[in-house]
Amino acid sequence: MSDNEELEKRSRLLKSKIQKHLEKDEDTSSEDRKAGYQAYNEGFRLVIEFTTAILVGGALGYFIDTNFRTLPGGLIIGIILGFVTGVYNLMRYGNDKALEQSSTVSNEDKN
Amino acid sequence: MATDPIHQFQIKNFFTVAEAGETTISFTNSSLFMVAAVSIILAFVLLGTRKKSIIPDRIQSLVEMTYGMVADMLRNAAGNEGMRFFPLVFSLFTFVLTCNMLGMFPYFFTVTSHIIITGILAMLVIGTVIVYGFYKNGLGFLKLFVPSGVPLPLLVLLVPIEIVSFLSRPISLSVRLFANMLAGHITIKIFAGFIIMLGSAGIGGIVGATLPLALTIAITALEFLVAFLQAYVFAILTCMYLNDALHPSH
Repeated sequence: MSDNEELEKRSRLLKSKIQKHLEKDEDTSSEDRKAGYQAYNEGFRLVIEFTTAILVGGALGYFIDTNFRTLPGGLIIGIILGFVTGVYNLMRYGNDKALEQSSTVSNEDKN
Repeated sequence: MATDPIHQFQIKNFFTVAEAGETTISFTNSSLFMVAAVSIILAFVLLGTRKKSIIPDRIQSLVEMTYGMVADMLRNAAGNEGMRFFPLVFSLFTFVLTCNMLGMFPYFFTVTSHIIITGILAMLVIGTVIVYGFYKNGLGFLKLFVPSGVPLPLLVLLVPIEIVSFLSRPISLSVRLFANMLAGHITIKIFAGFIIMLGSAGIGGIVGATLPLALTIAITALEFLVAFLQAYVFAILTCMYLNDALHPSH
C-alpha cells in the first residue's frame, strides 16, 4: 500500500514538473519573432504584387500606345487598370485569409 | 573601398568561353557559384541515396526530408497530377536554397541577388505554365482569365484585370527573391561598415561600435531565415502557378 502511495506522489510531482516546462516552452519569444517575421514577409509579398501590377498595367498601355500612336491614352488607362488589379488582388488575398481564419475558428469550436 | 556595400555584387570575368558577334559568353564568378551550387546539390543527393538503407543514416534522412517537403508542397497545391512537375520544382527549390545559403559565406557571391538570374527562373516557370497549359487544355487554358459565375458586364472589367494579374506574376516572383537577397546583403554590409568606422574613432567609438556589432549578428541570423524562406516561397508559388496550368478554371 505504502509503495503505491509513494509512486502516486512521485507521478503527481513529475506531472506538475512537466506542466511547468510546457508552460515555459509556450511563452518563448522566438515563436513570436517567427510569427512577426512571417507577417512581414507576407506584407512584403503583397507590396511587391501591388507595385508590379501597376507597372505591368502601365507597360501594357504604353505598348499599345506605341503601336497605335494613341499616347498617352493607353498609358493612363493601363496604369489605372494596373491599380485596379493591385487592389483586386489585395481584396482577394484578404478574403482568402478571412475564410481561412473563420474555418479554423469554427474547427476549434467543434473541438 | 572595403566598406562599399555594392562591391560584393560585381560580376568578375574569369575567362571567355565563346564570342558571337558583339556578345561574349564568359565564365564569371556568378557562373562559378552556380556550378558550385549544382555540384553541392548533386553530391548531397547522390551521397544520400547511395546506400538506400531501410534505417536511413543522417544524410539519407536529410535527402528524404527534402524530397518529402517538396512533394507535400506540390501535392497540396496541385494535387497528385502535379507530381509530374516534381523534377522542376525540386530543382528550382534546391538551386535557389543552395545559392542563397552559399551567399551567406563571407566573400562568397550571391547568385540570386541579380535580377537576371531570378528573372530567368521566373520566366522558366511561367513558360512551363503557358506551354503545358495550352498543350493539356488547348484553348480551354484561356478560361484562366474568365472567373466563373460572373455576370457578362463585369467580365469586360475582370478579364483585363486577370490578364494584368497573370502578366505581373513572373515579375513579382523574380523581384521578390532578388530584392530580399540584395537588400539583406546590403544591410549586413552597411552595419558591418559602421563597426569599422566607429572603431577607428577612439575609445568612445569602440564602445559605440558594440551596437552595430550586435545588430550585424542579429541581421545575419535573420538573413539565414530569409534565405530559406525565400527559396520556400519561390517553390510554393511555382506550385500554385503550375496548378493553374493543370486546372485553369477557378
